[in-house]
Amino acid sequence: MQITGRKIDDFKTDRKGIAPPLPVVLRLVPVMLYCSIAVTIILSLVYLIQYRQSVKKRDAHNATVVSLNAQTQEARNQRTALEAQIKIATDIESWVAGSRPLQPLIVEIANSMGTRSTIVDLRLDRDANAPAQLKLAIKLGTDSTKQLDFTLEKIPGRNTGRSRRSRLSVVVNWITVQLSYGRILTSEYFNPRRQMNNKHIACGIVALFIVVLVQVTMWVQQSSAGMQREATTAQEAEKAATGALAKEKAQLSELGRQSTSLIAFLKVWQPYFQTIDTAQSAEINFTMKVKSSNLLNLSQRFEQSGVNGNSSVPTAMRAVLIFEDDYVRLLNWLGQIESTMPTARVSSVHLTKGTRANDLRMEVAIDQPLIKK
Amino acid sequence: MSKIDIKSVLNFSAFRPEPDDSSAAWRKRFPGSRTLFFGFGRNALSWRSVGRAGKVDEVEIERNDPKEVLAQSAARLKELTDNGWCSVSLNTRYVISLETNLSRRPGSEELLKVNPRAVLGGRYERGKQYALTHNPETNSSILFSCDEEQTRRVDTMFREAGFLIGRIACGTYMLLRHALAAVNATKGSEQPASTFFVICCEGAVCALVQDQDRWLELRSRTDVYESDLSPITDLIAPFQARLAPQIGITLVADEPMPGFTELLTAVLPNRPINDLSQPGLLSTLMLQN
Repeated sequence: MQITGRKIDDFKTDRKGIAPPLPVVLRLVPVMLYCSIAVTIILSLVYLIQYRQSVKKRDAHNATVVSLNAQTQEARNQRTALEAQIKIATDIESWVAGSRPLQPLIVEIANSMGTRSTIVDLRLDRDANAPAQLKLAIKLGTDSTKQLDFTLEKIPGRNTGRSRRSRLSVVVNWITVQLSYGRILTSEYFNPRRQMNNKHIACGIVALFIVVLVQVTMWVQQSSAGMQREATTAQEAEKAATGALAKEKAQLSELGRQSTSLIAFLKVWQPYFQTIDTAQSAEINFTMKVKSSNLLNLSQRFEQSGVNGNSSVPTAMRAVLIFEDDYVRLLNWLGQIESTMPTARVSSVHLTKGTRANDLRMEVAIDQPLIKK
Repeated sequence: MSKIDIKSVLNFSAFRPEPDDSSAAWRKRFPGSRTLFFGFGRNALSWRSVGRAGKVDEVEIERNDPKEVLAQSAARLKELTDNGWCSVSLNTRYVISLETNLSRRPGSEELLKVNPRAVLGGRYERGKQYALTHNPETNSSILFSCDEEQTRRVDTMFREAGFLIGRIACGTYMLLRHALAAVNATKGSEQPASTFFVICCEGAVCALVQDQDRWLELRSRTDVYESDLSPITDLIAPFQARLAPQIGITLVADEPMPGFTELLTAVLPNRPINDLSQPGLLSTLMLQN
């Protein structure tokens, strides 16, 4: 017979809701929770340290980027200002190049006449779109075609690539010559620009805590990684800003170097342009010049006209004057006007014979530039 | 579900039996905790403290009304525990009897707790709690019964004294089961055992005659003795005439009783005595089972 004696009969009134212990394997749940807490704390600390370092790096890079951008902007502003100056200088240079005195050319042509030759009609017109170029029309009275070659040789700085169209008649040669005049100034100054159960439920809740902890850890890790990416982006932005600044400085330096002569030219010429900068002052100036010339002025007309392709000198006051007087006095007056009014451009000169032997009839159009304020 | 359940998972107590889970061993329910084992008699209250390592201290007995003893010593006794958990051994107001032809259907032992009438039939009495030990070789069974009101009163008394009761059991019945298990350890009927069980537990005595695996007679009395052991011999002396000559004596007491074997020999001469008594035996059984 066998009787087991390990059982004890308990007569206590059992409490309702006594749950059996959870399976041993479920001990892994709280163990994992504690491990998760420890891992979460350690990893979170590591990630937080990385996060803070990334924030510092990002802020440092961002501050540098802001500083570099400011420097770049400053350099850009300087370059813009320099480009504006260059533009003004180029425009003024362009104006000046198209305002070269015509009187020496006229005198040279006149002096080139031989004893058996005479100028019947001389016309000098500037091309409105390319004022540096002159259209010269001369009507000679001569007995030889050599006079024309001799006269053309006397014209200084003429373009060898001229086109020539001639028509011979018995006494008159019509020659149309296009000259590129002012070669020296143009080449010197012009430069191109660049730019379950309760226990089971509790166990489940604890397991849920683990999931939450994992999520928290992942969230912290993602935040840290995100901040690291931001720091990397900021670093790249800093590199780009450094490169942009270096490029901008190089451009500014190169532009400054290339425009040194142009800026010097501007400094010299700008005060002359600023002397007469209104239509009224230009008209008064012309009137005074005509009165002081003591020449026979047949007609004078003033009109304000636009200047093509020159934003710095958008308008000019044009004086169309007709004189008839002694040819020496007329040419001297023309030379004097061109020397005392260096900014004024003689756009057109038309010389024909006057009433008396030494008289010339001169129809001249002079443009006074009105610089943009 | 409450915060306590989550806390129990976090401190791993959810993986241990609950303190009042009677299906679990005491040691597993209170690992590393100090508890108290009380012996509840009619006019005596004994106690032993169990240390954190499971060491059982010497028994202390106060012979007085247990209610008064608890009222006077509760604060002092509570300090011997960590959380006030205790186990109570009922040593009075119970009956152990020998019955025959009780239901042995599978699950009847569990059913006895919930619906004792279904197991006991006509022997069931209202307001009683029962425990059963069947003889696997015969149709006889040992039936323990006590008043439900008594256990409830004990429960209330200890709760009012500030204790938490983890178990209420009958010490004599436990010792009887222990003795039966010790003697009847061989499966089958090839080696039938014959002995005369004498169980003593803090004033309660139970005597059972087992002859060739058959339980022949059982006598159980509570509050039989205190310091004088002669009432025990008076109780068992009548068995001498009915016991077969070759039957030995198996003595089990909660504590070794010096001089009792001599008394037994005097009453039941020429019978070998197998004394299974050990110091703190009842407490040890409470801890282990």
